[in-house]
Amino acid sequence: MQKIENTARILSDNIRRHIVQMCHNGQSSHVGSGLSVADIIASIYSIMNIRSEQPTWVGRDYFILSKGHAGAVVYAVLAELNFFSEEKLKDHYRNGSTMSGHVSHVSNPGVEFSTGSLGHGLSVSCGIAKALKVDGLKNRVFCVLSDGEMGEGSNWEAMLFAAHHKLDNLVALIDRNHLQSIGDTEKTLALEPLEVKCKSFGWDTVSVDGHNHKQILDALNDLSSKPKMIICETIKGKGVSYMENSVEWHYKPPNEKELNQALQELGKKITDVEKN
Amino acid sequence: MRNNWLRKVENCIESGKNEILIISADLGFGVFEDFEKKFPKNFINCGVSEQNMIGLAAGMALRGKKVFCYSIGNFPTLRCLEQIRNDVCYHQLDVCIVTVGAGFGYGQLGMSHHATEDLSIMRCMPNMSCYIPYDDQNASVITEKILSSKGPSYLRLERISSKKIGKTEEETQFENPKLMTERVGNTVIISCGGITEEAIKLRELLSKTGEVASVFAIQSFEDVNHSDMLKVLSKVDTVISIEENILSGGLGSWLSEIICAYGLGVKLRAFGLEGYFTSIVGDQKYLRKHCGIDATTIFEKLKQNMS
Repeated sequence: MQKIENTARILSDNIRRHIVQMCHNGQSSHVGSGLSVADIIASIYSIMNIRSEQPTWVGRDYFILSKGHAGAVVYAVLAELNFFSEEKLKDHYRNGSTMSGHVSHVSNPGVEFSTGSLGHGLSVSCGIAKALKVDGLKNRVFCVLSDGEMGEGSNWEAMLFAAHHKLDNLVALIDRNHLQSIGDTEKTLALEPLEVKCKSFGWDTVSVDGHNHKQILDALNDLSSKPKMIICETIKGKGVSYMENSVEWHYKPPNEKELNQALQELGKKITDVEKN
Repeated sequence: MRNNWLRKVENCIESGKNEILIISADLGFGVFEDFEKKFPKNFINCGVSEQNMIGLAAGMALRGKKVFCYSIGNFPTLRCLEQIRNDVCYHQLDVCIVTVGAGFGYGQLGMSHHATEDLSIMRCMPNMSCYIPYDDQNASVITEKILSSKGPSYLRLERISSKKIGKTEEETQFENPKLMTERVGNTVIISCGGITEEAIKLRELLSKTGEVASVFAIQSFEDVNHSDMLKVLSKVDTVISIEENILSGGLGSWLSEIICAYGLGVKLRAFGLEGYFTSIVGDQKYLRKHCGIDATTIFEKLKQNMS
C-alpha cells in the first residue's frame, strides 16, 4: 500500500508540473481545476487495471472525467503512464491538434470518453457499469465530477439509477474545492449537506482529504455493496501558492514569470517526496 | 408500427444477438411487459430521466451493446439533445432513439407532446441516420436495416398503426426514395412518414382535375442514393413536398438543398408546419387539417395558385 501511495504521490506531482506547463504553452484555462483534481486522478490511476500498450483491452477498468475542463490532467497522467509520449503534451490547445482543452478521445489513446459539458459523465459511467454487470464482468468504473457540476440534474438522475441497480462496480469522486465558475458553491447554489444528500440517494458515501493519497486510496479500496461516492475535500489551484483558492485561475493561463514560480514550487514538492 | 419494430427486435435477440438492449424512459405501458418477461436482461425501464437514458445508452454501447432508447417523440429527442450530440453522435455509438407519436400522433395531449421539430433537429446531428417509416410493413423493413447496421440512428414511428400504403403486400427491400404509385406526369409529390397517406390522397384529388402526378416516400435523408433522387427530381417540372414536421430543416428544406446544389430547374412547393405552436386540441387528422397539411387543404392551396 505504501508503494502505491508513493506512486500516486509522485504521479500527482508530475501531473501538476505537466499541466502548468501545458496551460502556459497553450495559453489555456482551467489550470486551477487541474491542480485541484490531480491527487484524485493520480490515486485512481495508481490502482486501475489498465494496459498502456493495449488501451482498449477488454479487461480494463474505466475512467471517465465528467469535469472535462480538467482534461489536461488526463492527458498528463496518460503520458506519464506511457499511453503516448510526453512530447505529445505539447499538442494541448495547439491549432491543428486533437488535444482539446476539454478532454477528447479522438487520437488520444487511453481517453475513454470525451466530455466538456457538465452532467454527462456519471450517466455514461452508469451505462458502462450496468453493461458490465449484465455481462457478469468485474471491471470497475471510476468517474470524477466537480462540485459545481452537481447543479446538473442529470447527475441526480444517474445517482438514482446507480443505487436502484446496485452498481457496486461504480465509484464516483467529487472534487469538492468549493469554488465554481463565478464563486463559492454555497453562495451560488448550496450543495451542503452534500454527504447526507449522496447517502440519502443510496450511495455508500465517505468524505476524505482530496490531497491525501492514503485517504483517497483507502476509500477506493474499501469495497461496498452499493455504488460508492467519495467526496474529496480539495483546494482549487493546490500546489501553486498564488493560484490556491482563486477563481481567477479557472480562466487565466500562467505567463512566463508565473510559470517559473509555479514550477519552482512544484519542483520543491517533488524533491520533498524524493527525500522521503 | 411500434409492434412491428418490437417484433423485429425480439426476432433478432432470439436469433442470438443478445447484445441488444431496450431502455424505456418509463413509457410503453402494455407494450414491453411480454418483452421484459421473455428477455429480462435485455430491457431496462430507467424511469422518467431522458438525459440519463441517453447517457446510459452511450455507456452501454461503449461496452458493445446495441441500445434502443424508447419514449414519446419529444422526450428522448429534445430533453436530452446534448446527450445525443455529445455522447452518442460524437462517439458514433450504436444507439437508436425510437420515438412514437410522430407529428400530431398525441395531438389531443397538447403542445408538450407534439413531435413537430424532432425530424429537423435529429437530421442536423452529425453521424445520425434518421429513419421515417411510412407504414407498418415499412417499419419492419427499416428496423431490419437498423439491426444490421451500426451507429447513431433515429427511428420516428407513428402512434396509430398506419394502414398499408406501400404498393405491394410483401415489401422486404429498403428502397429510398420509394415509388408509392405509378410513375407518371410532370409533377412529383414527395413525402415522409405516415403523412404519405395524404400525399397519395392529394394525387387522387389532382388526377380528378387532369393533373397527373406520382408519389415518392423518403425513408431517410442520409441513407439515400443521390443519383436516384436526381432521377426523380430532374424528370419533373413541379415537386410538392408534404411533411408532418416544421418546414425549417425538414423534408422540404432537404429537397431545396438538393435542388439548389444540383441547379435543378424545378419548382418546389413545400407543405409542412409553418413555425408556430398550435394550442388547438385535436387528433392527428384534425390537427393536420388545422395546420393545412392534409390533402384537401393542400389541394385547395395548389388550385388557388394555379388559377
